[in-house]
Amino acid sequence: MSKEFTFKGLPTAVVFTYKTVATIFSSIYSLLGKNGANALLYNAGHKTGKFYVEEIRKITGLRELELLNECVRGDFMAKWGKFEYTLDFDKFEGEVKLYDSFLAKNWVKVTKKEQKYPVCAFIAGYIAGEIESIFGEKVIVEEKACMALGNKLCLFEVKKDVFGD
Amino acid sequence: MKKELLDNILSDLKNVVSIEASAIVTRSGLLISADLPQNMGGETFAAMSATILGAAETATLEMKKGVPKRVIITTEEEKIITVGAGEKALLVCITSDPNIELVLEELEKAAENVEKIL
Repeated sequence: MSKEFTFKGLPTAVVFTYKTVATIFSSIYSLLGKNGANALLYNAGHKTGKFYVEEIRKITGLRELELLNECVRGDFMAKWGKFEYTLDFDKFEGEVKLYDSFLAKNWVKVTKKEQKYPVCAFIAGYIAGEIESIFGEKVIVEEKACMALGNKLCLFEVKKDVFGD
Repeated sequence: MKKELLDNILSDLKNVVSIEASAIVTRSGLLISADLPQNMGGETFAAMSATILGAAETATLEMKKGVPKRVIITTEEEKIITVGAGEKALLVCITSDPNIELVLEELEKAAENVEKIL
């Protein structure tokens, strides 16, 4: 009898290879184009980030920074990568570094195509959803560097609105 | 400042043609400015408008027919019209105005103004 993998009581997880992940996401980019895919994936990531925070909050009872740290730890354990938040919590501006992104780190290798733009809109939305759910602040998250483009890490800018002013 | 100017574009548009809802959205689906009914989810509306325009672009480029000027979705009662507003944004509205030519003309003008501001 197999044993289901769970994290802090969350429902059963599944395992995808990097190739499967890159194939799914690159297909979305191929069909919808850069902008269309970014729109869809950011929105999906945003909902996913909010959902994840709500689940962890329910289970742990943690709040604010402790809750954020727990989510970061969960993401790391689930092999999504290592998130580092550097935020001004008065203005809710700053940056988030993501090392070893599950989505981007093997992108070029598995898609076998030269990548011309960042591919982590899902994760940008995910970060925005987490921040919104934890701190109650709406933010915009934009990817500025991406491992799929050959950068050492993925870098996300966090700002309060589209214009950053 | 920019936000106010963009808000004004949507309110001006509403004064000229019959529009139920309108929004200015980044090409990647983030809501910049909106005039929407309370029961309408702005973020989803914005994301789907950008996704639909993106999909339309893929389709027309795949067929080597250039970039689409606009996407019109027609329901029994209304039309959802999405037009590009420069490289950074798009403009989308829901209308039941029978004078569709006028709506399109005013939308194009508004989109040009959005492009200038952004």
